[in-house]
Amino acid sequence: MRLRVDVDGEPLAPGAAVSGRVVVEEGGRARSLSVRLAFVERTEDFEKVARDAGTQVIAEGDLADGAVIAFQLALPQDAAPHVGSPHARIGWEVRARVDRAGPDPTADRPVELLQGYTAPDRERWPSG
Amino acid sequence: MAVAREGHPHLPPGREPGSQSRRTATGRTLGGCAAPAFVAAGVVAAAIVVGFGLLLGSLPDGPPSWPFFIGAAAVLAFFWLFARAMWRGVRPRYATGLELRVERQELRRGDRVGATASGEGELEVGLLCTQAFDVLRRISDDSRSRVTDTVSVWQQWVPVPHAALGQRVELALPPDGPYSYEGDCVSVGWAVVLRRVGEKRAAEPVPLWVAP
Repeated sequence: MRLRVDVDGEPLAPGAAVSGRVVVEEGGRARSLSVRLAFVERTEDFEKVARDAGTQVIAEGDLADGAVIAFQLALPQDAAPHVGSPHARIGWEVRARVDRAGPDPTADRPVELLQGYTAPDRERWPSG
Repeated sequence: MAVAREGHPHLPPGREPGSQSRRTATGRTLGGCAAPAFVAAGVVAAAIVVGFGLLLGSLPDGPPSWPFFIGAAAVLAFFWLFARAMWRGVRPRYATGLELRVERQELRRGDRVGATASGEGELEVGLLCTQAFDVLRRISDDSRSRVTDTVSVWQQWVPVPHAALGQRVELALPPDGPYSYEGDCVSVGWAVVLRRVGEKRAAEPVPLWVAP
């Protein structure tokens, strides 16, 4: 089973609705499909949900190939934008998760907010 | 007046460390405590090597003792360097003869902050943002350990050419730059630093807290 998450209208403002769709690229048997919006710390080896802004069940039952399911969640009014580097990122993410027998397939999609920051490669800095 | 929270030099007083910063501070403290033990262990190990060499050298047709003395010196140097690295983790060395004062430590992105630098020589003041991130590092074929690495994610340097009697400079935080964050596997910290141009060692940094 394979999923993809699309998000509309980025970059978003704090408090804005996060709307988009989950595309089921490869379907299969499932109990449900849910999406979660959360502020996540992520490195190559670790991830931690620092703040959960809500989870929504958007489909129940088996998922067909090519199915497209829309969702809408809301960012908190004080949502901070992302800060990223080639090594780590903090920021909001949508996670789609299929609940089924065995390991649950997931798909993560970072959400871009206004005034986020992504550090360029370190080589840019002439000193320090 | 203290410019940094005790045990957490990257945070201004009054700011709570996150779990990553607490883990790192605990590791530094343990390393600092273990440093004298490593020096003692090095002395004991070197003495054993020397003793073994003298013992073998005293036997009829025994080997010469001098290779054991060299081996003992190498063992001592190895343990001493290891202990020194752990000690430096607890007590970093700063440049002497430099003084840095920052007008406020609680800011928001886009704010400006004044800093006064004093010291002999050609100086520069830096506004630095560092990201700390946890990774798994391989320590043997079948074992990996959680370590915290750091990387510079933003920096700006301002020359301070005539600072013998103190010179004020104004630094600007980028409005769409990174902000301070204390987390479990990622943290972001800001600081103002002062150094002589061309030198790596700086005066003790002054940490800032930059709100989004």
